[in-house]
Amino acid sequence: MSDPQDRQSHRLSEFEAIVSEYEAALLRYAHRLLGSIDAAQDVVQDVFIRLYHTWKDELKPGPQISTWLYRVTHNCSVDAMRREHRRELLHLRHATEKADDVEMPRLTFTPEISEAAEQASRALRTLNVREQQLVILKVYEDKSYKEISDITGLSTGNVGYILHHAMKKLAAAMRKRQLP
Amino acid sequence: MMPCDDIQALLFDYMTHELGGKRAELVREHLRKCEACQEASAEIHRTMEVLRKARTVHKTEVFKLSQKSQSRIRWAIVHPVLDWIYRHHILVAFCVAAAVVTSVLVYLLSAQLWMEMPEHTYPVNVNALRDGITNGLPEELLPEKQE
Repeated sequence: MSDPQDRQSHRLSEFEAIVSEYEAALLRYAHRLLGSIDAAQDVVQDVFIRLYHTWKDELKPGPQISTWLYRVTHNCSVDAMRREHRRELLHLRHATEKADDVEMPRLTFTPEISEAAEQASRALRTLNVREQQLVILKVYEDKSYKEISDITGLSTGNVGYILHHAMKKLAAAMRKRQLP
Repeated sequence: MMPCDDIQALLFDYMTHELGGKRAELVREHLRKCEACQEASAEIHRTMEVLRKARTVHKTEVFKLSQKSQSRIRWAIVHPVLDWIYRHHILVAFCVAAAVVTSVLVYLLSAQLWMEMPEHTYPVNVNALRDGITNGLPEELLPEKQE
């Protein structure tokens, strides 16, 4: 086998190792942001394609590649949310022009999950996208402030500040739901 | 002693072990004595418990790329140019349309079709020409006389 072919097949096997290593974490992260497993599949698939075409260094699991993957997953998820929101608005406008009885389309898909998960999911939706991202990275993905700072480009101080206010909002949202 | 507002701003950092030695000690000392901050800390703890319960539920689900996604990734790796076109299909369609319109305009400009319009036009009655009635037509436009 010639050299370029060797390099190509070596790179492919490295890439497959990266996919196996990170697909679950990225799918979970995208799923929490988007609320839909199909949308998460599309986003993560695009992320890995971009990784293969744009990552020039060696494809080895590590903090650098992890940070890159989470950052691109977040950006692609936000783009997907914006596209979905525009589509929902178009459908809404079309539907209200056509008929009186229109069922409001759900902006996010809520799978069947436990009561606690449903409560958490509802509370998370009261946060803005940036706050959701940081809460998911900190609480669900167990990332440190330093890692979150690398992924988002925010300073560690800013990360702490946003998380502090996000937790206050979440507590208020959960308190509201518990009131009779 | 630090004011409660400052302590409460650090509570989440403290509870997630993001606070360094001295500051963590300050928060710990304050929490021993201040009931309001203890309550605030308990509320953060409750909130995080609910979030963590949801995390446990999600972690039991198996998140794996579907066969369709895996095939799409393989295809994109093998056909990078086609993949680029697929991702940017609107831009590609726009460029192709612009190229077609530009080509047509360039052809029309170079051929100058609109410049070859005749100055004078004459209505021609073929039967009249055959019978020798010229109607003022120039000689060069008349059909050849048949003997």
